[in-house]
Amino acid sequence: MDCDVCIVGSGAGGGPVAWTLAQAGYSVVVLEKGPWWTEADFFKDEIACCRRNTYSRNLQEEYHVVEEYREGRGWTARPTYDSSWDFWNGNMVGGSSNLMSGFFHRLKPEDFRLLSEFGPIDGANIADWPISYEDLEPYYAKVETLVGVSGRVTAHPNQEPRSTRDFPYPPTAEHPLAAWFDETCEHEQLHPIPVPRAILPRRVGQRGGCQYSGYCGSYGCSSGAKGSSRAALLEKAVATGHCDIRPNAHVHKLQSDRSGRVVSAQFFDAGGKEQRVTAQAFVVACQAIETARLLLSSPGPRHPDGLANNRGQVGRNLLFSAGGAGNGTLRYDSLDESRAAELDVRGPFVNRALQDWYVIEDEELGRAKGGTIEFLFRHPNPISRANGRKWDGDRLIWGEALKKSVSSFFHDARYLRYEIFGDWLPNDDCFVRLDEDYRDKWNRPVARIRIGHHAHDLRIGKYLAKKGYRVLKAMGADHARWSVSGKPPVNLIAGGCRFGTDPANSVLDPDCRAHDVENLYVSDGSFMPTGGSVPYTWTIYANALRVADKMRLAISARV
Amino acid sequence: MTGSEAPGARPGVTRRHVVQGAAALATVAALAGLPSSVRKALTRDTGFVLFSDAQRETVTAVQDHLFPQGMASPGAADVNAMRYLEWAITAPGVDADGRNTIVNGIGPLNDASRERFSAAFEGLNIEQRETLLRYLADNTRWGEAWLSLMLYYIFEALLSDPVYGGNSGEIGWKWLGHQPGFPRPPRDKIYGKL
Repeated sequence: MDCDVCIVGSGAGGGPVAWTLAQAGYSVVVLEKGPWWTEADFFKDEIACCRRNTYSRNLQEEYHVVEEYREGRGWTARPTYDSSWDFWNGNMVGGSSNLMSGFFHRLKPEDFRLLSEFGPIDGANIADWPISYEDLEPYYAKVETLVGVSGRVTAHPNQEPRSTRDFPYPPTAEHPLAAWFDETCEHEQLHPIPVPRAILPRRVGQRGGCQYSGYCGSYGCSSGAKGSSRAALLEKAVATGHCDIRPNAHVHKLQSDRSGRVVSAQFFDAGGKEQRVTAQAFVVACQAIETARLLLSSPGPRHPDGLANNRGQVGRNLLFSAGGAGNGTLRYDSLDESRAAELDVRGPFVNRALQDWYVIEDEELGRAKGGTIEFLFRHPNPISRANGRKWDGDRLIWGEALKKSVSSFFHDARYLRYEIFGDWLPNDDCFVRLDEDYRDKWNRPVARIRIGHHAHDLRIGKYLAKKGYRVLKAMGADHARWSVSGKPPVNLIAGGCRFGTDPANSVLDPDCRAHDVENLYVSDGSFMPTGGSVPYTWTIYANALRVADKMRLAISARV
Repeated sequence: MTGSEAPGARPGVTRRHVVQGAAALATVAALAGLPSSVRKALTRDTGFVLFSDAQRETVTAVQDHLFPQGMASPGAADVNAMRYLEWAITAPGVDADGRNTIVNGIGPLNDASRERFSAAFEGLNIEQRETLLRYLADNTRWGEAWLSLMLYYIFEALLSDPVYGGNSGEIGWKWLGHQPGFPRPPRDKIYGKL
């Protein structure tokens, strides 16, 4: 036996398990398909970060096949090397948590019982969670100190219960716009929330504080302030002497024996050579799509249709985040000199969100689950911003007209955005399976993703978009506009291996152990039967800590 | 589903982190929606290694026209757009469709130029260049895709970190009042060397 526990994937799902078990003295091996970069490798370089595939897979070699519904043509499939989709969100030690913006919100108690709280919706596979908010709360609190969440608790109608009074770290520095936002909200009788961030405002141990360079989301953090799984957990896990991280290890199969137990993880190393790791227990945390793919790619004597898939549940009820976005223009020439100077400040965060409509009471919609509206400046990446100016409607422009448009875009205004996070209702048209035709460079079937949304998501999205629009207008934004669509954000993925008490309609038990594989756990966002209306990362971290505690009990009981 | 104060206006908003994982984004965006025959012709393998002198002259002339030097603003030549483009389409891991599209557009451009004005593109005067490019952008699918990609790489040359060879002396950033992030990439840790 090579180790006690082998973890496949090192992101927000894998890191907490590695940290917990290594601290407890178990020997842990983490297999990560990407390289091991550190703070010393991350720079504010738009080319490397965002215009090329530095941090994710080359789509010509490793990709997905996406099925989308087209009117009159039905479900049509295209490989992602030939479309604008890219579901790799960061393949490196620490996973996509290295590149997150770190907008950290907890789920609310209602999110754990969506079905009983709001009732069924035709065409949606809504289910209550087998655990409650109270079960997860201690772990949310633990993430605040362990990963480092900065913020300030304020009273608002949908504030979730907390076991501690406030965050362990004060908020990150705020842009002057935050105060304008608060004034507007006060006038509109809304409750602005200082957004908790998984970002340290000051040095803590080996991790530096935020440097406020103005580039955060999509970029790796150069100071260690961002609470990535790598910076916050894995480096400490390695320091225990019990955790071995193997980068560039692409796991393609979990081998199980005649009893149905997993015996080894088989992977290709950096040189393309096949290797394996044996362990007492295995944890899969490859982000929802690849987790489902790995299980489906791992048939065995007791699992003919893929590991943990004897009821055909693996890959079903995939979740994204529903909603939409809006934006508006704040022009310098509409402001007096001091306000214009405030608007021009670069670096600090806007850090404001609204959850006034987390639960909606509306004449038309009735009592319904709503969501979160997050306000932020447009991403500062200059190439991306300038390139957007080359279109005047549908017509390409260049020369002086283009230069004037670019110059005006950069000099005359700042662009305030909002993003809506709503429940992506689980449904029968949103799932992962193995593709029968397309294979990756390892000659393994790629994941085929059908991305159907429920019409209800758009109704809620529209409701919230109009609320956000009103706030933008009240702040004096010009050219305010919004859009809502059923196209998912590629970086907010969960579900596919939902947990529950009934093996007939869930993959995992309430401890996130596979119903029919005694030594297999899933600790990424795959477990979620419904996704709630916030970004997933905090919940993934918290649940993975919970799962690790359950594993500790289960494994020590056996030893 | 969109909304705005001006009915019918394009929403122009995108969902969250679409900036990420954008390696082939520029090419994909430029080629999206092209009829497959046009697309096939544009992306056919060229075996490209380096531009010939003649190709370089044409591309430089196109870049100068698309992004001319102004009284107080840099043009394509000021940001080494030609040299940058050559690097960009030969860098390791480069998207082959993008490279081929750039190279495959040069011949048809000059064919169209000769047909209309009896001279290669670099031999045309400014009005003729404008007439030709406008015609190609508005009336040919390949022309629009090709010019869109040429513009994209000009913006990369204008606004990427000078370590990549464009944006000389940060001239692009200075023109737009853009404040770069920090730390900036050192020469040995840029794209292709990480």
